[in-house]
Amino acid sequence: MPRFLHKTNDLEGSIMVKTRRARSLAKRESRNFWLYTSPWIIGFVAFTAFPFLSSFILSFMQWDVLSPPKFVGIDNYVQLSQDKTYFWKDLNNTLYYALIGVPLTIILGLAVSVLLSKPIRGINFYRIVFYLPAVFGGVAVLKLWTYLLSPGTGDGMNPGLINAMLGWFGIQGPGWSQDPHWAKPAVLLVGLWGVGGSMMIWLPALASVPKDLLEAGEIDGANRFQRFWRITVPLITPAIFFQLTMGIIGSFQIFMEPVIMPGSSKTWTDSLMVVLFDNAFRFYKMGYASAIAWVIFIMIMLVTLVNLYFSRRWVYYESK
Amino acid sequence: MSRNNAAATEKGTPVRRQSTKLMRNVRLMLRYAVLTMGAILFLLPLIWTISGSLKPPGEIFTVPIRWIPSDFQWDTYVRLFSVFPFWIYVKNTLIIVAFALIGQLASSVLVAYGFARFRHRLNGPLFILVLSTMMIPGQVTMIPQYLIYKELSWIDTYLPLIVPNYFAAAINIFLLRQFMLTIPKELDESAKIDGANSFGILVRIIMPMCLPILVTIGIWTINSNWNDFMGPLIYLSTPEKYTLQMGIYNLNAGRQGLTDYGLMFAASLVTLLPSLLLFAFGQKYFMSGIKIGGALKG
Repeated sequence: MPRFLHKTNDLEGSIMVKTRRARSLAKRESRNFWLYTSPWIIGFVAFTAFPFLSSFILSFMQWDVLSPPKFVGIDNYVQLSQDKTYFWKDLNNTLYYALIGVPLTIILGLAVSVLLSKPIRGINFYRIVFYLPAVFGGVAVLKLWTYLLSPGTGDGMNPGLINAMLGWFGIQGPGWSQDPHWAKPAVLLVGLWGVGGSMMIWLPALASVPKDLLEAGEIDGANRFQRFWRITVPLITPAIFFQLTMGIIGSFQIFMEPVIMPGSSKTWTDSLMVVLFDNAFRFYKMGYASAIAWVIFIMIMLVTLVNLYFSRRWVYYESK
Repeated sequence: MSRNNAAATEKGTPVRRQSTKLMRNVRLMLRYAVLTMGAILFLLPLIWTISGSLKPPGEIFTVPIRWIPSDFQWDTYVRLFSVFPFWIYVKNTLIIVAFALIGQLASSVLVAYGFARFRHRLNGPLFILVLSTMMIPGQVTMIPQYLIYKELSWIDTYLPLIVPNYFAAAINIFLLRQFMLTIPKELDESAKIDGANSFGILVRIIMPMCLPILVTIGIWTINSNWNDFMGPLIYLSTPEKYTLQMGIYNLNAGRQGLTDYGLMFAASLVTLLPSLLLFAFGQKYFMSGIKIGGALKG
C-alpha cells in the first residue's frame, strides 16, 4: 500500500475519533443543559404556561367550582364593561396609581439619589437612612400608616403624625382615607416613604455618567441644572425606562394597600386586583375573575409595548 | 502667545479658586442641610410609632406631639405575646420561609448554572423565554394555580406557598446567570482535570464565588415570604395555620371598645424587626446596587 494512503487513513481515523469524542461531549453538554434547567422547565409548564392558557379559556366560561363549567362566549367581558359600580371605578383607581404614582416615585427617587450620589463624608449613613423604609413591607407598614395618617377627630384634634406635622406650618391636614379626594394620595404616600429603595438602580446609573462629559459641559458654560438635564438625564434613560416599565407593571398589581388602608368607601381606593380577588376567592366566579385577569394582562402588555415603541426615541444605549 | 495665556491664567487663578472654594463649601453645607432634613423626615414616622408603642393610651395622638412618653409602658411588649398567639404565627411563618428559601436558592443555582455553562442550540431561546415570563403578571396564572392546588387537596396547607419556590424564579435565574458568566471558565477546566464532575464544579467552584448574589437573593426570598399577604390570604383558612401577616391583619386589640393603639403599634413594629436585622446583615451586599444598561445586554 502506498504510503500516502496510509497517511490519509490515519488522518481519517483520527478525525473519526475526534468527531466521536466531540459528539459524545456535545451529547453530555446537551444532557447536562436539560438536566440543570429542568426545574425551571417543569415549573414553567406546570405553573406558568398551563395556567396561562387555561385562564384565557376560563375567561370565556362561567364556573363556580362546584358545578361543571359552562361556555358563555364573551359574556364575562360584556358584563365587565357594564359594571360601573366596581370595574370602572377600580380601573380608574388603578390608572390613578399608575399615572400619578409612577412618575412621582421616579422623580422623587431620582432626586433623593442625586443628593446621595456624591461620595461626601458620612454619605453611607444618609444612604442607609433613606434606604431603611424600603426594607419594611407587608401588613405592618400599612397598618402603621393608617395611624400616621389618622386625621383625628372631626375638628382636626388628636391627629396622627402627618397632620400634626402639617399643623406646624399652620396647615389643616386633609381627611386622608376619610376624604374621597385624599384616600388615593394616602395610598401613594406609603409607597413614597419607601422611595429610597430605588437608589439601588439610580446610584449605579448616576455613577456611570462619564465625569469628563460633565466637566466638558462645565467648561462650555452649562450650569448645574443644564448639565443635569442635558447630560446626565439622557445618559441614564435606560434606568428611567426600566423604572417606568417595572413601576407601571407593579402599579397594576396593587392589592395590599387598598385592602389594609381602604378609604371610608372602598370604591375610593380599590384596585383591579381587589375586584379580581373578591370575584375569585369570595364569590367563586372563576370565569369572571379570569376575564378581569386578562384585562389587566392586556393593559400591561399594551402599556409595555407602547413604552417599548417610544423608547427608541428617547432611550440612549451605549452601542448606538 | 501661549506664554501670555499661561501668565493670564496664573494671575487669574487665585481669586477664582478662592471664590469657587467658598462656593463649594456653601454648596456642601447646603447639601448636608437638605440631606439631614430629608433623613429626619424619613425617620420621623418610625420614631413616632416607636414612641407611640411605649406611651400610655391617652398620649399617642396629642398635639403638640409628646416624643418621650411620660411613663414608659414596657409591658405593652409583654402583653403583646399574651393578647394573640404571636409565637404560633411566627413558627408558621418561619416554616414557610425556611422551605421557600431552600427551594429558591437550590433551584435558582441549578437552573442558572445550566444556562451559564452548557452549550445547546436552545440555550439562548429558552433564556429569552425565562426573561419574558417576568412580564406575565401573577394574576393571570393565579386562578388556575388555585384550581390545580385544589385538585391536589393542597388548600389550607403550606404547600401552595412553598412548592412553587422549588422551580426557580426568573429574576433569580437572570441575576445568577449574569454573575456566573463573569467567572472564568478556566477555573471549571482545572477542576475538571482534578476529576470533578459538573455538579462538583458547581458546588466547589461556582457557588462560593456567587456568594454575594446568593446572599442578596436569600434576603429577598426571606423578606418577600415573610411579608407575603395575598398568598396566605388565598390559601390558609384555619386560624391556627395563619402566618404573622395574617395575624397582624386580623389583630384588633382593644378593651371596652377602645382600640389599644400602643399594642397595635408594638405588634406592627415587632413584625418589622426581622427585615431590619436582615437589612443590617446584608447591607454591604445589596447596597452596591444593580446596573441596568449593562446588565440587560449580557
